[in-house]
Amino acid sequence: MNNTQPAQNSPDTGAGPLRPVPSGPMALQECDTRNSDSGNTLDFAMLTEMKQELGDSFSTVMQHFQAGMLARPEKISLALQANDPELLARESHSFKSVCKQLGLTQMGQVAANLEAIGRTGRLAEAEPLVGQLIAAGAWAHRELKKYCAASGPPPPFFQKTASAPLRG
Amino acid sequence: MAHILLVDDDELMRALLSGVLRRVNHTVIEADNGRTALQILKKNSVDLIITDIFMPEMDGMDLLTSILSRYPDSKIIAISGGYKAMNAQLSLRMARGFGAVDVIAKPFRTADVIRKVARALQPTNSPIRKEA
Repeated sequence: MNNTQPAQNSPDTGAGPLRPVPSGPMALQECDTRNSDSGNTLDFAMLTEMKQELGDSFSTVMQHFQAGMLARPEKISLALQANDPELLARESHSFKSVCKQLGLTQMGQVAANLEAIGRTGRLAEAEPLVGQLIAAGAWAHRELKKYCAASGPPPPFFQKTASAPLRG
Repeated sequence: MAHILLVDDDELMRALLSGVLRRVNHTVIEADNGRTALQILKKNSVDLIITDIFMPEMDGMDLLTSILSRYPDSKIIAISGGYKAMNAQLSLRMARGFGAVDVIAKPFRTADVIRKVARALQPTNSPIRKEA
């Protein structure tokens, strides 16, 4: 099976060298089985600090973030489907901050690239990036859920395997 | 503790910040844009305003200017992750220039938020009073 799509980044979107990621129904399963070295991990130090600062409301706040990892890329996708560059830029800008707050810097960069695409109006370049964001968002959703389900800080091995599927 | 008006168009960031602030016993009123924030200020007295800079409708810089023209003693903390060609540091420098007492760059450490809020709340100014 080869259902990968190359990420075609325009130089003036400020895009980094994003590698192709799988897309389609089997893509997430493929992504999950790999130990990525993409460097895109949740910031567990930040999460642990949030847990301390938020106390009992940590799980509630994290439920919002978990839901956002699925819903926000979907909103970005809908903006693209609606051919609405302004909405694409706005939704991507918003999601960029959310990603970076969790340490998901590479996802945040993809969102930043989509924001730039929205501003230039060259929506044809957005589709592969949106696919990446949806796959990575699903991954982040699961990792956040795992983290919240675990009591206390994650064991060291968890940190090594928690990498996002933003790679070929 | 203090009454804080939190202005951010992103509900996730609002959830995070309000959770952190409530945890340390502050009362938080939330607004998702600058216009709503101004409406809230007409009816509520607050000790501190925390506002995102880049928002649709009315952005944080306009909000900052509007608030300070009506309530010159206001304490405002500006938050930004940057937007378009303006990075977070530049936008936050501008916010300081416009009168923000402190700034927070996104992504932020929650401990920093608590520390900066505590510092801003030190009793040097009167609270932001609602309109008579």
